[in-house]
Amino acid sequence: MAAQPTPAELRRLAERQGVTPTDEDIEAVRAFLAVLLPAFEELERLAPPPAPDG
Amino acid sequence: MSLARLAAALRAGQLSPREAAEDCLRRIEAVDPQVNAYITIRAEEALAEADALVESGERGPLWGVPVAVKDVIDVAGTHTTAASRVLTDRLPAEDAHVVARLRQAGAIVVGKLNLHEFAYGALTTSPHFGPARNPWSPDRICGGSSGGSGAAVAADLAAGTLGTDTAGSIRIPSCHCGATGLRPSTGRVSNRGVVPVAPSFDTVGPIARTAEDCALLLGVVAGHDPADPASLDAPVPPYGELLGEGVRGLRVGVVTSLVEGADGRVAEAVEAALAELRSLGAELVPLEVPLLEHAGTIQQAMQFPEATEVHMEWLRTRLAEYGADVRARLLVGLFVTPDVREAGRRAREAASEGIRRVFEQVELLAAPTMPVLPPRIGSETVELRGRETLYRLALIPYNSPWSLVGAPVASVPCGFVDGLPVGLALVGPRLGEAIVLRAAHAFQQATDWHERRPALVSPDAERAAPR
Repeated sequence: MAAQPTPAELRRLAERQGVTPTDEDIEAVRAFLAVLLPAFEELERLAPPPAPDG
Repeated sequence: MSLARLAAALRAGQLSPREAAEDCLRRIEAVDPQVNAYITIRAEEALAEADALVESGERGPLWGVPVAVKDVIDVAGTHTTAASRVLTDRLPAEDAHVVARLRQAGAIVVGKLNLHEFAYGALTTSPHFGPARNPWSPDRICGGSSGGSGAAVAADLAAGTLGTDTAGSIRIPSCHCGATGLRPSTGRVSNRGVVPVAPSFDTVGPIARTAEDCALLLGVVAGHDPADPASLDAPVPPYGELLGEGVRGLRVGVVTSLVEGADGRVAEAVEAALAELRSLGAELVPLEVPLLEHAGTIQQAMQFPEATEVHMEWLRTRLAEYGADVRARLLVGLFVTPDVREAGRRAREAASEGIRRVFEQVELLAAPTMPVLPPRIGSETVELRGRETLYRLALIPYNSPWSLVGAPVASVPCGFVDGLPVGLALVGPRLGEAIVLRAAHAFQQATDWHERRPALVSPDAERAAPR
């Protein structure tokens, strides 16, 4: 299972998109991601991309 | 009085549009301070519009009926706040398509209703405008995001309302407030002039006292809008005329896992409602829906990034002005990868195909609208089957499966637990609003749960909720 991104990684990703979250925002996001990331991994297994032609 | 009966009384001249508007505004003035259903009350405008209506001589199906709309729906000349500080300057010059339709039908818009900030949450506890309170128990939430719409109907502060639904936002407050609500098929009603949440899931729909009221409202607002690219060009059936066909012979699929997963007292009320449908002639078919357990994840894989895209410029420039919970949800969308979103899109197609096959076996699906009772304001958890559970997670399996596939869903009051309303969800195939409303109406002809009134409306209410 992919590891949860660190607060510094999340901040960097957000800032790359022009958004500057607070420390509290990052913690709140991590609470959501703790539930979402494992579910999204399962989703990618459930609905894999179609095999390339040929 | 139901919207349909009020409309009939107005047409019969038993009261004038001004008298109906004044009566509604008096109740808002007396009761809304305890409920906080309204963000904006259009008292002067509503009375002027009522007078103008009489002068015009035209009489549509909602002639003189006082209605209210969730405050993400534009009404020309009245602020649209979305219960957020971010939008305090939005003063639309034009009505949303649905408001224009309401006006053409003769309705009087008396105000704009409270909601969860930007319709992105189910609590309706805006830090900017205060919580909307549940008329059945004012220390509890009324659900959301269309919480003000549900509360206004329950407290008799409008004859009918419009809400919006992305992931349950019409059904949840309808359930918790003891109102009847309908999430139409996505695309059935135009979203033009409505602040979006996640455009591929959003729809406007009615919340009112009865299925008949919802049929009347939907008949007015449904239909193709060439200016909304997501609006479906499909014929709109005469919903009101089809209400009386009953449920005899209808095969109703009971989503067993959702009944079994609900609070035992909620499940009991829903099972009694299902027994009532069977006694009316429906055939109950226990079944499961493909991908049901993944529906929430599939929706979130698409909804989070869609919502974040809508807000991107404000996230860069006005982030601190959002309430903390909505800010967090919008930030989450920054971290959903294109691969996850694409997997969500593929899984959504598979879920839609799965539902289509289910509707080859049955005409309707039934389940609890919500598995739990509304939590107290300030609490974000509920007890579900002996476990402390986040309210926002508890609601997902009961709402996302139907949002995901764009199906029409009604929530119909079907009982009380601890004095709080419980709702039965009736789900139809895409564009099958008529069969959903027909079943809801048949149920309401045989029961009186939708007629119960909270003590807040009338301390001497003839039929208070049983304890």
